[in-house]
Amino acid sequence: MQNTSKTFSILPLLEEKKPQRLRFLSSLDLGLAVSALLLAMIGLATVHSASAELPIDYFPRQAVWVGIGIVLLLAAVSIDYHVLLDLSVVLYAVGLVCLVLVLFIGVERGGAANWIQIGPWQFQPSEFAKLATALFLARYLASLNTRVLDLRQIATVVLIVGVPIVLVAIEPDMGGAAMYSPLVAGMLLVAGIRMRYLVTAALIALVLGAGVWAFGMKPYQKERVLTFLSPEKDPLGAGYQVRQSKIAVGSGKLVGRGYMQGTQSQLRFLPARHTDFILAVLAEEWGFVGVLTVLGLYVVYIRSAARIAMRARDRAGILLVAGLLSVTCFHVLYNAAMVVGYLPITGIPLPFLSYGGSFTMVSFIATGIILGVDLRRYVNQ
Amino acid sequence: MTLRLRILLAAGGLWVLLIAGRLYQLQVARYEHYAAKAERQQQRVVVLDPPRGTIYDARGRELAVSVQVDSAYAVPPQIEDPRETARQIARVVPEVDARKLARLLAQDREFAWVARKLDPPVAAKLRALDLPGIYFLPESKRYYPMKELAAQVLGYVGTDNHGLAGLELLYDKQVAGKPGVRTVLRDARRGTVVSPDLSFAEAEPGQDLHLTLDASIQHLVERELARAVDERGASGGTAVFLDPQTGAVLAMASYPSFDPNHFADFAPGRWRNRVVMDVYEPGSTFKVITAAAALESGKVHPDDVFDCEMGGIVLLDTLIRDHKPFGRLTFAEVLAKSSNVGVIKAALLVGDEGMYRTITGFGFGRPTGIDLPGESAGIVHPLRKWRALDKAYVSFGQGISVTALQLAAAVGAVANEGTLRRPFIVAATGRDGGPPQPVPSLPAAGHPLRPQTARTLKTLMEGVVTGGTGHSAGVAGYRVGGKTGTAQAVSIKQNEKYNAAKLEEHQRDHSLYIAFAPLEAPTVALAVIVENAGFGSTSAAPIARRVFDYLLLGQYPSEEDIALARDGKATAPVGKPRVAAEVPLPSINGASPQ
Repeated sequence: MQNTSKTFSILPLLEEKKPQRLRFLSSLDLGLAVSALLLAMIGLATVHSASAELPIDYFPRQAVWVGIGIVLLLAAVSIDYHVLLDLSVVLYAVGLVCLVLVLFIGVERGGAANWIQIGPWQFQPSEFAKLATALFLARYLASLNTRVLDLRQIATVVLIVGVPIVLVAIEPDMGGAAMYSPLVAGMLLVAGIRMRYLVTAALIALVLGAGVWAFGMKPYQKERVLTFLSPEKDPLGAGYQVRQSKIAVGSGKLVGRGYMQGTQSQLRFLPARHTDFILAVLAEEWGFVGVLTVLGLYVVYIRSAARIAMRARDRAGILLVAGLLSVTCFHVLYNAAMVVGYLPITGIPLPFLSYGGSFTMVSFIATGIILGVDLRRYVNQ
Repeated sequence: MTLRLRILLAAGGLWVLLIAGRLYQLQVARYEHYAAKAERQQQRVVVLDPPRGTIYDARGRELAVSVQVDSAYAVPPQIEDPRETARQIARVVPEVDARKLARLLAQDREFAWVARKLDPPVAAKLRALDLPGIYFLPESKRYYPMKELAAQVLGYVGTDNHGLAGLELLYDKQVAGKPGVRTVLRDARRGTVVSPDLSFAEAEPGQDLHLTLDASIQHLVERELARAVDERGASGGTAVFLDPQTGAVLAMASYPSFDPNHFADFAPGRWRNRVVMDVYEPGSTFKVITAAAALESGKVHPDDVFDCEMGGIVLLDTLIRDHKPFGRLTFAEVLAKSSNVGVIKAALLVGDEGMYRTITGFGFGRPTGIDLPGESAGIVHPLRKWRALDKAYVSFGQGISVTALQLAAAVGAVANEGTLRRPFIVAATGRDGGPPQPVPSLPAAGHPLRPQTARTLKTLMEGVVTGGTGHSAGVAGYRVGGKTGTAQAVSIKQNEKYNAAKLEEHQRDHSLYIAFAPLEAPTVALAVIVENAGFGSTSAAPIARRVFDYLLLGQYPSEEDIALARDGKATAPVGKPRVAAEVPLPSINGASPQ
């Protein structure tokens, strides 16, 4: 074949490639891919409804982000994750540089300067840095060939994660910084850590938390925590958001008020309805059934990702998937709990549903990496 | 390694179940509680009227504006004594009924309008009372600073902020704007607040209209029309002035008028835009159309001699008379002296079809299509229904009905080289003081005459003014073409002589006048009708004369002329006219309501 192929036209070459592409598609984990796509579609429809009374319709923009996200997903699938792990040092370094840059040239939005403006585009370096940190951490942990991590190794992990956390925290974006903790926790748990270390870490976190409360928090952040504890005290302050979210969710009933009919959203009572509180819009317009469907899709996504982690061919693959999965999982669980009034309000969006360029793209890239890990479970290096 | 992952997953699953349970609690078990909460707070979303776009005249003067006024509302739970509060409000706000309001204030609700769009002094008094639970929101109210000026053209606006007549009605979609939304939220500690964080949409102002109408000309026309009507003891009148080359309306007046700021205080008959809505028999003015048909047919020439039979012609046993006996006249003289017999003979030469084609060609029998509501088509019987004598009667304007606007457009076509233009009044629309967007110009509405015929007819119409019946409109300084007319309001017995003084007012004839100027390249075409005034030239033509002086010579009537007009004595202009530029604008710049 090789010898004669010179004289052949391009057609036989294409035919030759066909079976390979079919194998690619059939071996893709459909549960993960389809649930991600369905969630993104539901997200687009809900963003459109949620922005009906906003100055601009965010639907076209989000559609562009989803489109770019799908392309990035395919790109991430096609790159061997080992290549990504090899590159992780560079990516991690670039991520840190961006985080430092944002401290100087960051654009402020809602109290925290965590955006970098490039021409008409704004992006959030902390999202990309999180991805780079996940890769770098997976590479480091995979290189250790131990069942249980010793203190020196744990200290190294803390250092790797600590630098971006501190950088994000001084922006100050506490929510963004907190999002590193599920990443570390997920990976450490899977990599092997003694329970007493985790308990110690939890205690340290508590002490640190108290310290941050006393010295490190801005008034609006304190207010958020306080109003979470008693929202009815201040109906027009931060507690207002929780109350409106609960009213929106509650007035959804079993099957909702109908698409574009959510009065809480259309009459603008609901804050951040196209971003952090998009689940409340969905709950009001599609009711209990609608939210359960979306939560069900997340369960499918998370279970598929978890299965991929368990059948991955090497330690690096397992760690990578576990880390990425933990982040997504945490976003979903925290956001849902926040919308129903279980947890204080921080800027934690819902993957695939909430409007937002950087976060949507990172969610798709993470999905692509997970699918790529799965694709290469049989491939020999 | 995977065991810990499974434990993690199980914990996540438990968390999802917990949230699902919470969702069930919120959405199913306690649904009614939250739905009630939602409804209660949504009551407080208030829709506010937006400012309507400004209507400007051709020179950028404001004819209709929106001013911000206060609307008062109540938050009933904050009012301890509804009856006393209502009583106090009713004392300062005339439109409020104390008992009705007291009942409203006693209701269990979060929001109630007390009175909307208050006059500023009333609002000030109500504010001064400083009643607990009574608050104010800004809304827009329509205001017409020039009061009666062009009232029937502009129309007026109802309490719901939508136009009910005139341009306000026809352009309501563009002018109305988008209502604003405010959420009025109450909280226990701070009382009611209007928080910018809450549901809030600034009312979006509507588009502005820039008219072709010129307030100065309009004012002059209205004043002259009022003078003509009053001094003749007539019942009313209409006048419309167009630019024949474009169809742009320069002035459009109906008298008596009304003040659109308080339109409900006037008789509904005054709201009518008579120029487009009312139909009249055109009388002798229609001889111009007959002449057009005759010349266009090629069968009649200006110098052709007609025997006018010394005062009457018998057709099918019916005698049709002239207003005075004429012998042999050229066709030019027939028009100048307005001989019925002469034009009847010309119409007989043209024939039914030729007459009908020219009449419809000039746009009679169908609305002109001007951008004003309620336009009448007039009455032109279809050709197949024409009886033997119809063309004879139609030739001098009987048995046919037209609007003043149709007449003006038709004479405009004569002036404009035989090309009929569709009249229009909105020249451009604009947004928020931005540059006006011109309305696309319209194609010609028809070509009833060849340019050559039109030019011949123009000269004949000048002959009418200089040598015929229309002499009081003729002046030095510019050349005018015109034709007077008298439309019979009642039929006069054949042997009886017409005597205006003997007839009751409503039985007297309508006085009509159509004209254009300057002859060489006309820039103004007009139709004036004074109802129940008597003969055409004595009432309608002098109105045109004064407007021509103003428009073409820049001359404004003298002080003594205006004084005489006030006393109802002047007919032809008196005294030395003034240069228009030296005369301040007529006192039409009404005071603003603040």
